Amino acid sequence: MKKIIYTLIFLISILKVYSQNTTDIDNLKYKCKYIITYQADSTNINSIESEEMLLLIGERSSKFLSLSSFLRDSISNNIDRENTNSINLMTLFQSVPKTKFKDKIFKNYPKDKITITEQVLKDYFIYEEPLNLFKWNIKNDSKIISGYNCQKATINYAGRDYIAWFTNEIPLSDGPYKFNGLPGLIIKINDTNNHYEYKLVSLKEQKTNNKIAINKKDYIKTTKKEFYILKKEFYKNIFKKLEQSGISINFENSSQKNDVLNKYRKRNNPIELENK
Amino acid sequence: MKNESQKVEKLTAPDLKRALNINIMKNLFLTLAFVFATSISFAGNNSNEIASQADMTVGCFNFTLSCGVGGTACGDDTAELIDLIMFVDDIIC
Repeated sequence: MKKIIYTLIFLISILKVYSQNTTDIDNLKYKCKYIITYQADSTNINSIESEEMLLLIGERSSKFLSLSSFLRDSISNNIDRENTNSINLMTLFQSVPKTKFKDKIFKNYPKDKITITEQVLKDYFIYEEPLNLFKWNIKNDSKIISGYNCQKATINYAGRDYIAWFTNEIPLSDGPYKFNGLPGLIIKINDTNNHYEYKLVSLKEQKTNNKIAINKKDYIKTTKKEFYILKKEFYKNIFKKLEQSGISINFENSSQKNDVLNKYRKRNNPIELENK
Repeated sequence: MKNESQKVEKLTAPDLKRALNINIMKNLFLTLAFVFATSISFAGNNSNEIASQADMTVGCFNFTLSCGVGGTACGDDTAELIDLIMFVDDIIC
């Protein structure tokens, strides 16, 4: 018990506030939690996975990211890099949920833009899209979802047809992923193939003085099309890319390496099928 | 099919922040036991040695980060472990 307390003191001592790692962009007003359910492999209807996602809504802008990314950022932005080691980090990061979604989506930051950031190995990429991407068709259909009276809207975006259910009870023109522009918050949205579905599971107004922040990094500016090509190439040649960056992985047998490559190949059903 | 009329969890108490803090603390405590275990297990080894998970029986492999720190990672999802190694490498190295 005494040793555990010493270890606790040691672990806490490596956590230190480094506020200069982030830039505050807005005051946090609402925290929405969505569950994403998606089919990772387009050829396998049993490859259904799910994950918790957060939509942080501020006075002017919002940020959408996986709960895991939120937790990992919280840890990495509060760590004293000089006085910690990889044992602590690996164990800390392994204790947070896994994520397949490493992108962070900022809406109306800067004004009238959607900004997407994502890390690939040691590089941080950033690209922008216009905020008014979505020309919705609002329908008369309505139903109760998650306790809210919702109205239907449809749209085609990036190669998928979507059905969205939004509520006028929450007059926030926002939603999961990049979706926005409806007269109320999107409670549920799914594509007509049911490969991707986001559903709101909790909503909490924030009374405290929390901020929405963006990580301070040397971002490489790119476009969506270039980024998707780069990412696809990266995972196709992941072991070569790791080696080039100085990271070596030594498997006990060759089947382990092939298993990993197969696993990456089976992540073949991105939310955006067209990347213009 | 899920019942869509089910009321949404509005997190009155505890709110998300508190829930997250509790989650972090719970994970820290769980991590503690492991860090302690690995600290003892590897006390006699090179200080650069890493074991990333207590269960050494499933899917283990050795790795070296770009700054020379090496270790062994174990888990049931090797692709996820590689993602984690890339992330840690960026922070440490």
